[in-house]
Amino acid sequence: MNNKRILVIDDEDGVRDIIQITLEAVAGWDVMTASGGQEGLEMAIAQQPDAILLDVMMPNLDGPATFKQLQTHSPTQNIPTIFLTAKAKSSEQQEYANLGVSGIIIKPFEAQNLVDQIRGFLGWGI
Amino acid sequence: MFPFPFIWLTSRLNLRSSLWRGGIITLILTLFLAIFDPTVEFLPNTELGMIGVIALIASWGGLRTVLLSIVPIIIYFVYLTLTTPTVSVWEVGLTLAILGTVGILIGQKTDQDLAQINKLKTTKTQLEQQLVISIQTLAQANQKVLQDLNEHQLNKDQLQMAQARLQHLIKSSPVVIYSSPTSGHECITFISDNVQSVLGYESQKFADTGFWATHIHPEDACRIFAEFPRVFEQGKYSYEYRFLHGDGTYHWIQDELRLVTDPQGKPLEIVGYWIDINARKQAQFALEESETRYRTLAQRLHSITSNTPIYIYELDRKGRILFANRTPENVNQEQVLGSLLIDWFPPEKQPNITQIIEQVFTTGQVQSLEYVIPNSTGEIRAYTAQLAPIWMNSIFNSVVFIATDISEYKQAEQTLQRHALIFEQIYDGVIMTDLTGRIIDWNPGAERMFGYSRSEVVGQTSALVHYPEQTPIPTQAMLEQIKEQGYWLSEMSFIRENKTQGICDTIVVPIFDHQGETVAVIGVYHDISDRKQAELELQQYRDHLEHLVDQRTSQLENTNAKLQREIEARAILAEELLASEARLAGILDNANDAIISVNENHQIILFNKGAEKIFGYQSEEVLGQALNLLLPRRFSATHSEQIKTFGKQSQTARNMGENREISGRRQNGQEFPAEASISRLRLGNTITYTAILRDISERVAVLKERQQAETALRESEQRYATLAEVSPVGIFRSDAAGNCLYVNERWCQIAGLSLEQSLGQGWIQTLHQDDRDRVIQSWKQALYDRCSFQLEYRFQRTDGMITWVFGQAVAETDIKGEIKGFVGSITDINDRKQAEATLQESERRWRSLLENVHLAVVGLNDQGIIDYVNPFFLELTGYTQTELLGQDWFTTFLQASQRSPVYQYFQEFLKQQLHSYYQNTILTKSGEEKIIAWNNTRLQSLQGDALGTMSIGEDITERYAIERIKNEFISVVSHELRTPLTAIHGALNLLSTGLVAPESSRGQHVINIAAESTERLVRLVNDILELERLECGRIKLVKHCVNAAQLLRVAQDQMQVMANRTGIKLEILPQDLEFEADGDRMIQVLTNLMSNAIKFSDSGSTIKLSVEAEWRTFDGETPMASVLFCIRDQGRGIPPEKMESIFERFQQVDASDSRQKGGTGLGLAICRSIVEQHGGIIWVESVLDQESCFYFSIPVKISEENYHEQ
Repeated sequence: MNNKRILVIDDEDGVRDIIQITLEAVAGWDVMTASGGQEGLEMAIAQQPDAILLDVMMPNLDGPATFKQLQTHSPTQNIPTIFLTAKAKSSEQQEYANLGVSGIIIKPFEAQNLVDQIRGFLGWGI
Repeated sequence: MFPFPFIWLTSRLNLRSSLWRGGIITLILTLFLAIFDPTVEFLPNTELGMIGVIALIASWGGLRTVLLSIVPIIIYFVYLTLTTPTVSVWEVGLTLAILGTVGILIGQKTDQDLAQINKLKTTKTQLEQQLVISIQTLAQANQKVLQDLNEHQLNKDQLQMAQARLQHLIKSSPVVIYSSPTSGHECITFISDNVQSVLGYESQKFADTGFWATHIHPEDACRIFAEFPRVFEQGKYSYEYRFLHGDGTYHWIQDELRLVTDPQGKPLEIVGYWIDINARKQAQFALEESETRYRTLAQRLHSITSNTPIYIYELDRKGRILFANRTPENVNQEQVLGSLLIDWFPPEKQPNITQIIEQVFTTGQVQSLEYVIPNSTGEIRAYTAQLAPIWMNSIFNSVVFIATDISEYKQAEQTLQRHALIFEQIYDGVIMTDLTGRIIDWNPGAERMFGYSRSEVVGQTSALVHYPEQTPIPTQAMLEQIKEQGYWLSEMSFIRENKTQGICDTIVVPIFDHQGETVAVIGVYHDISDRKQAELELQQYRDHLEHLVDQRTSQLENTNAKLQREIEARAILAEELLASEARLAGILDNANDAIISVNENHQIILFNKGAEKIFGYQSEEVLGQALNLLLPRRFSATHSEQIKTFGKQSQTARNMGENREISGRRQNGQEFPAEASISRLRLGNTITYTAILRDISERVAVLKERQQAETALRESEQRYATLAEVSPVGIFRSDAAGNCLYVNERWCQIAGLSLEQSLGQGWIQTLHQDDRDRVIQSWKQALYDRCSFQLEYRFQRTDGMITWVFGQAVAETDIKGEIKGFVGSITDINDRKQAEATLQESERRWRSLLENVHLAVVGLNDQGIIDYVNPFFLELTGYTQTELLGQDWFTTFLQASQRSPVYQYFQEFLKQQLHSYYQNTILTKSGEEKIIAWNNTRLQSLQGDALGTMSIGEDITERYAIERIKNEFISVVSHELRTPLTAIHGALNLLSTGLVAPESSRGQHVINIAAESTERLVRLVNDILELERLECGRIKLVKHCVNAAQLLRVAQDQMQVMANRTGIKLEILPQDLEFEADGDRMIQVLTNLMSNAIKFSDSGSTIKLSVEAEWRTFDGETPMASVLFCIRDQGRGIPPEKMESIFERFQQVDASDSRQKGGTGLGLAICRSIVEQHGGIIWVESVLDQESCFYFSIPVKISEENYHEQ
């Protein structure tokens, strides 16, 4: 079970699928997906992935709120989390960074680029 | 199978274990049979039955029972077999059953009996054991009893002995012994026989209940019964009471009680004894009585004797004190009693007393003695003592010694002796008479004085010596005075036996008895007859002398009178002389002028005070000096000549220096001008020249001054006149009434009047009509207030020109302070006035600008305090002027965080005017934030110091808001655009890099994703652009007549698929209503609204579309016919606060919600735009969590105004 397992939480079906396919194709990681914050939280607690990619703009439980929830649950406290956002404003980015996530990735992204960024933020080697 | 009914039967009887036992046996037996009978088929039932029965019986009582019961069974079987060859199963069964039961029962019984027997056997064994033990115990007990019995016997013997002793004692003693139960003597259980002799009753009597109680004396009974219980407390008790003796009398008995208890302390009985104490009691009473008597007596005696100064002792034969009623001071009873009386006396007296005591004892007679003894303070007291025997029962063993203090008596005695001596010895006569005047006593002195002997006069009346009145002494008057004063003292004349008279000094004093009443008087008479004589002769001489003196005195008086008259005359003359001298001196002294007299030799003989003042010499200095001293040297020669000349002239007086000035010379050398006159007086041979001189130097000086002043005045008047002529200011002078006296040229110029015209009241003409009253009023006020007059007013000249002037006038007062006129000026201020007017006008213009401009204008002083705000600013911020003026700008309008930087800017700005443009947020009164762009100007004084700032500001809040919305919009849109782009980009990237093969299913999926996202993107972009175009009016609406019902149907068709997909029902209520609109756009609106409805409704709910005609007022004008569309859904509803805002761009109830459902957030905005372009209105009504109703109403005919064209 050497393979990294990543949980992708994004409400946009298309984006989510693309990410999944990208990560599987490029890095060969095991990708789990959730379409909402609540679902993602439950899945994270149950599956304990090695990392979480978390979309910021989601209905009901948005990215930051989901992240906070992850922090309060002991199984998921230490799972490194990366935000995905389309918002390019640096002030907003700074806000997200202050929450304590491992990294922020801006949409849109290229496949290889996405993987590299993730690797970079989490310190996973090739 | 057969035994089992039996087994069942037995089970009913509740014997389970036996059942099992029985069952097993049955089985065994059956098996046994089976083994030995290999045929499968059963034996004839009989055998089996038998086996069963046997088994059953065995199960019950065991083998014993079986054997017992088996006999009848066998017999019966034999019988059966013999009699009936064939036996039916049932018969057999029944038989067996019966037999079995019987057997069982028998067995049971037997068993029971056996069991019982066993039980009994065990019981019997147990009992036997117990019996053995009991017998042993009993034997032991018996042993013990025997021992006790022996002991008991011993005790009994002892007891008997004791009892016998007791009996003996009882019989012989006079003490009655009894015993009674603890309840009391109600019933006496035992009483000794001697009760007969003691109390006179037989002992049996006491056995009667209550006998004892009833024989107690009634008076004691209560006490006894009450006290009886005490025996229980203390274990013993005794009391005394009277008991009725058999002989009928009450005898006192002493009852001693003892409580007898058992070892535990429980009272068993009371034993006691009675003793007859009657005799003792009686004796006791007698003794008590005598004792009481004795005590009373002693007390009485004591009270008597303790207060008297009598010492009463009882002495025995030896002289020892047995009793003392009181002791000497500081000595107590113990010391006295038992001591020898003589010890208390000084040694010298002791033998005497002893002797006397002895005499008393021997003779039995009363003896007395006197002695003195020092008391505790050392004072010698005298006592007299009586010694008398005390008889007691015809013999006396003791003596009573009664001593009385007679010290006072002794003293009195001595005093009396002394008095008697005096009485005898005194030279003067002393007569004691009673109150009637009868002579009680007559001393030798009286014998000598009056000539009568004592014996002759005692008893006689004292009147015999009283001369001439011959009234007894004391007279009534004497007595009265004695009562008042206590004595009578006077001279009295008396007559002797030889009939000669005499005079004596008498003092009469009263004699009092012990009650203080006067009973007698004593008169002491001192013969002063000789003295009197001498006095008389002396008096005669004196009279003679007096007579002589009188004579001489009258002579002297005459002479005195004459002398007096002469003196008076002289005095009058002297006065007149003095008066005239004084007058002269007065003149001389008071005259300010110098009066100098010189004699013929020109020597000063008179130099008055005035001269002293003028010349500075004292008169003493100049008298006798030459007159030249007073003259300037140069005149001295001529002067003396003149005097000489004058001397020869006939006139006696003339002025000096008629032709020229005269000068005088003061002491200090100063010369002065003078006026003088000279006169000549001849008195006998002497000629005196008198000059009267006046110092006129002052007068000269004054004259000179006046001349000077006049010159100066003339000069100044000249100057003044010149000035007035050339002044650019109009000058006038008037009197107090306001009549003009003078005006200068300039005045005339200004006023346009000539001098003549102005004089008097003429000047008033020139005043402007409107100002006349004001000026006059002011004038009067100034007069009244005594202050200067200042006023601005107008002249209206004759040529019509109006000039503004500033008039000032000051009052001129005379010496008394009364106003005698005014002098003033007028200045032409016309130019100034104009300038003022211009200034006011411009100020007004500027002010109006500030008031009305739609910009905020704020003025701050250099401290940042508001000193000006314009109305627009007040409107903007919601404050009033009064609230703001004087407040601090920074604290009032800025957020706390802002204050510091803004204030810093303000400070910098004041210092130097740099970047006058500034933007900040201010807070209105309601706390709203407004962003203002300021343009600031620095105000400075002439010196260049900053006075403050003036700022004009524009409210750019709106602009900012709009900016903000725009930014938000851009932010949201960019996000919206990026999301599908992410998917597209990612998808294409995967495909292009070959990471995913296009032909694979994955690849297909990716391509789909890309395609969908592209579509979404396209939709979004379209929507945005459309909205933009709609907003800007770039879309042309193609209006034609449309049918509402048709529109609804088309819309329904378009949305049906989507509705079906989500399981929502669409219902339309169409009406054929015709109106003018762009059909496509209408459908767009309907589909948009329906799409929203579908998105926000749950599956299974219904969306209703309806349309109706109505009248509605759009734009507040007249109502118009319009078509109202309604789309009603049963979705989650819209909260009231959002009902307006959802029609804004990108405003969704829940922003991310709709997007998920494929919305762009622009739908409602587009709808609104379209509807408003048709001149209609769109709104929503909603109930949260129940339903929403979107309405839009379009006017049927679009009027010209509502038709929006490019």
